[in-house]
Amino acid sequence: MSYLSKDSPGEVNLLMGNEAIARGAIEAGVAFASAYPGNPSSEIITVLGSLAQELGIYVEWSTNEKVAVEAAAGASYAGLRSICAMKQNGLNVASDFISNAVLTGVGPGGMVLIVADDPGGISSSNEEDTRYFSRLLEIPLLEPAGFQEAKDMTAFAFKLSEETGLIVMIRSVTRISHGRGNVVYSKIEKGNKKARFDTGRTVLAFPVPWTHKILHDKMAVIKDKFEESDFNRYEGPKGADLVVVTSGAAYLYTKEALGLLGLSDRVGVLKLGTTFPLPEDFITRGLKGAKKVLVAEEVIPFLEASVKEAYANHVKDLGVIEFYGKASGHIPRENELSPDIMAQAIAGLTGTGYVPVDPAYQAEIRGLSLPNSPYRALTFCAGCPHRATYWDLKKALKLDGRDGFIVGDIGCYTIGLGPQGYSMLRTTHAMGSGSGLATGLGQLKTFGLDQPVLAVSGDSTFYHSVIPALINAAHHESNFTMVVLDNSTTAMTGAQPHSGSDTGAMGIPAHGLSIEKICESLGAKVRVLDPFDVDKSVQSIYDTIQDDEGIKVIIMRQECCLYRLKKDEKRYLMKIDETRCLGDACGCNRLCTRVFKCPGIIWDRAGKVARIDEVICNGCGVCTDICPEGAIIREVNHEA
Amino acid sequence: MKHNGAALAHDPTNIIIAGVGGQGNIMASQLLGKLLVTKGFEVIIGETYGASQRGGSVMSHLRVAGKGGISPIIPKGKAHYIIALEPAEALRVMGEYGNPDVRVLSNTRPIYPVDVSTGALDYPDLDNLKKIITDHAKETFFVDATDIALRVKTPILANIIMLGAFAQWGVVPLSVDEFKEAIRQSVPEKHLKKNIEAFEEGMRALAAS
Amino acid sequence: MSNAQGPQRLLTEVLDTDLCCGCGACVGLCPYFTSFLGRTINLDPCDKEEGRCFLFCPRTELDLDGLSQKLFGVPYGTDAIGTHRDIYSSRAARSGKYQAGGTVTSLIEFLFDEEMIDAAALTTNDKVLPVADLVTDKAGVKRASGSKYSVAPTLSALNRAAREGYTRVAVVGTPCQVTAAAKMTTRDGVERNPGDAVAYVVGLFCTWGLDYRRLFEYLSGRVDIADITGFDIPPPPAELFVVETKQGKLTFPLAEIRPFVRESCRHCIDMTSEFADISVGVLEDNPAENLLIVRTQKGEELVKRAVDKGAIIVEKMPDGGLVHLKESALIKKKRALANLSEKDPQAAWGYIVGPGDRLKKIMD
Repeated sequence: MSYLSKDSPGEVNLLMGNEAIARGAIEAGVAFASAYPGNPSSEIITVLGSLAQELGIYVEWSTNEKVAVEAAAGASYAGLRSICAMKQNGLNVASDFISNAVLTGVGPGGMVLIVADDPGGISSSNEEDTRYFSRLLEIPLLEPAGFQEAKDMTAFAFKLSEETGLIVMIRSVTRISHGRGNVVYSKIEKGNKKARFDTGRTVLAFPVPWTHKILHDKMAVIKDKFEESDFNRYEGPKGADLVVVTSGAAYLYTKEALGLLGLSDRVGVLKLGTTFPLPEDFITRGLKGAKKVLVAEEVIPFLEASVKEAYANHVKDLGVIEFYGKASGHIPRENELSPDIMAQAIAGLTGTGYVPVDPAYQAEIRGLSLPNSPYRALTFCAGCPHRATYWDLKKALKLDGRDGFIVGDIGCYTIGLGPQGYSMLRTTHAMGSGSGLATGLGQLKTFGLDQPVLAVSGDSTFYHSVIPALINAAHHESNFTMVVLDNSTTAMTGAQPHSGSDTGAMGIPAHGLSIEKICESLGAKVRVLDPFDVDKSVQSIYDTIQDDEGIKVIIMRQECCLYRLKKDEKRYLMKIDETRCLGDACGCNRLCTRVFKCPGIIWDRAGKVARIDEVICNGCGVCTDICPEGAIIREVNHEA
Repeated sequence: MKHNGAALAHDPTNIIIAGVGGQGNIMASQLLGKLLVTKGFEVIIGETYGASQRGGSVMSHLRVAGKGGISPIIPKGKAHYIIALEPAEALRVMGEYGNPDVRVLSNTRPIYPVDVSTGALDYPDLDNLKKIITDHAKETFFVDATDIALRVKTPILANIIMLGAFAQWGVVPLSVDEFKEAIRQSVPEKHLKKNIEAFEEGMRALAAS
Repeated sequence: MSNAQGPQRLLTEVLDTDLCCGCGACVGLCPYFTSFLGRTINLDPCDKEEGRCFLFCPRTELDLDGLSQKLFGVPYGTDAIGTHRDIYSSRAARSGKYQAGGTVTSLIEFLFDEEMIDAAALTTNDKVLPVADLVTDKAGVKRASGSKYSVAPTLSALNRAAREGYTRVAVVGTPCQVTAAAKMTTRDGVERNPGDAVAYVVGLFCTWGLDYRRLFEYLSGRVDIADITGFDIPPPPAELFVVETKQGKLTFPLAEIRPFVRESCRHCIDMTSEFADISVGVLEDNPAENLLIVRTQKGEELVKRAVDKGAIIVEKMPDGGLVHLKESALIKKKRALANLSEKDPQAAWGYIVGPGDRLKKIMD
């Protein structure tokens, strides 16, 4: 039994935020869970999947977020409690369904939507603030301000969903989802595990103004509940001059900042856990007597706008209040917040000042730290097949010489934008966007576009959203080459299985779908290559882009080295014959280190030779083939 | 929240475990954090691992409190202990979170940033790096954790060796037996012996330094 | 212009300006340059300040006097067919299927027979694409015979031979290739200089070469490329380009093909491989014979030995009989010099370093 599935009320455990959310779902008797992986949300489903058989629940990694949210809603209609998790980008994909489901309603099983935002874009291509979706789509929104709340709100959200027939959204952020903190367990409810679709019910949104009115009536009920919710509270002295209105992780930074400044008994904190619909009366009470209000939140001034709106509605009760936050410049509009940012903001408004550390020491250590802790550029792991793929693509495009280019999307292979991927990638947007861009670019021959067009995607991305673009391309006979970097896993987010895998989230057999068969069924010309076989791959890519007719698919298939090394030893043991290494002399000039850039090989400046770093090297053996002098020796590792 | 009587030298105590993606700093922070929770403390760990496994700097902020008020991010200049699995990372963290009273326990084996391995940049001189760290910390220990781990051909155990050194240091109210028990609970049976040996190597390395 | 003599400058001054002749001198020295379908391609950036690629390229800093002094002991002259000792008409002694007189094939076969070389850097047609061919025995020589209409990276075969440890290599090449070989053999103080492995340099006559890719773009709409077996340009005044296919011969007006002449060839002053040991071309009035120009002492000794041992038959040519050849060679020089000064008005003669007075004289 896992520490996450123990029915031990009162026990305290250190849980990752995502584990706390999963535990909340388990305590609420969840029966169905679905998601597409995306950091910082991924571990919720990983955890539930690992416990699925023990708990008798169904868990899947869905093909994409829209399918995931629809699948979860299906379970909800059949009376099961369901949870669906995604990162901020995923909600864009799923929102089409949700915007309809608010009118139709879900249920009778409660349905909870977890969206983990990533302020600062720590592991994302944007720092979208999904809280505005709650207003846009009109779904109730909860924001946990810690690990205990992450669990408690999840359990609460199921109840609220069942009471109202609405999907309830919980917005986490990286620091909650990927942080860890103490969580006190509650009892695990058994929950309904008997599914039945009530054929007496028709799920419909018509007539729209009527169902929309029903939604607004429900929202009014929810607002009343939120007015009384324990997730909202006022902390600090009554009638404080300065009140900080905050939610989520920003609450934790605010509290820590007040501690650092010693102002906990001078400044009030209005902590909100239910931020849409806004509990206006509660807020009005909390702001009574305040002269200044600082709204602290990350990314978009969602709360700031809402609270100002509430203030406008209650200005007679509250008198003149000055508002500070993003509009005033006291809180940055980009990136994460931190205790330091909050301390400086509060110190500024209270005229107290904040000096965290002896400035002389700080100046000195920063001055020494900067030049002596060299920047660590993101790179493909040693042995990563994507490095080899970009190497192959680079050479094939050079040989072709028509200025061909590659468009792409988000995944480990996005590193191809930078020098570690030989700057081969020209674009990165959403999942599968490279293939979509390519369908358009592939139609521009009549406008004089004579450059070969290539698109890259990962294998998981292929299933997620490349397929519709390929169908479009096949139907309209768009001319481009789709390169699928198939490393047999969803590597970027922690090696989750995908629709091509032969096991699913629950660790039991699943039907793995063949990328090549799907493509062949669309009439694409498909080649499957091993990126580590450099010469063959280069020739084959070159040949493919000479073909000017229709869609061509190249599957670069080689397992993610980290995924592989979890199951097996290094394929090769690598060493360098220093007598043959030309080093930086004319004839080589450090091809393996300076150009190929695998971190497993190190340029020894003093010795003027390349060396293998045995700790870093993952033994893929590709560098043996690129060394012009045959100085890099690979020996088959017999332990593999 | 009640804790079992053991006192924290600082409340909250701020520990940073720093390293490079793939070095196992999350495993170390989690093990340490869970152990402290069982002792009744409030713990928050903030992780930065968007870049883990991809050559980037990674950092765990491990915070231990007797009476709350902590967030997942340690305020600038407020680290009490830095455990660095890589020496340049120790200094990088000191630049942001160091103070004259900070205490540092660092591995000595560099992991080269890709710009160093490719020859574009130099890795800082190791002796100078150690001197800067030593000169700007109240107490400093260097342990050749990776080199010790390489002797048993398991470089990934460097984090457990560092944990052993940290246990020997004795700056948090946890006994060596409690550490070992936590390792037993979090490491698969077949790797347990090697892990415990590595942990003990780490203890000896610190005792000898 | 920087003082560096490395690949970056080769890129900006030769490849980017389309002056590359595709000779292959920079190919096979390192991983950074390769040749593909007649184009020289830089695969990755190299930041060496000095590189053999730049030093040996026939389109970088060509010191005519310097080369001439080292090879012939005299400054660069004004004779349109270059410095020479003797001129012969020649042919292979044994009968066989030779292009023209078969002199080159016979000489290289003779060199293998006599063990005077251990390898030869030749050019062979791979279907219709001329490719570099490192030949290491007599049996392989014949496959390289026959005319080629675009330049192959033949010197990459020399570079490969040197890397693989051959020490006495004969190079047979066009004027640009011969110039590169001469830059190698006359250059001192360069480590791993393939020129150290060169035994003999046999030059061919060349008016121009075609850009393979542009020629095939032109032909692709007119002929099934896969069916092409060869090309031919019949002697003047035919003005035709003949494409031999499996289905028979097709002719195209030469005027339509001429625009596909490599840009580099328009900037080449050398028609007769002036820096070779010996140069061999077609004797205009008698296509069954070669014209053989002997330039160096080494070349003279080779011809004498080949004649003595019955490999080739030669007959001295009166200097006066070469009016037409010299005229053609002079036209090529004048046109190239004019094109060079037009291409880069800043540098008087582009890549050619002096001698200004004599070049001026040629122009007049």
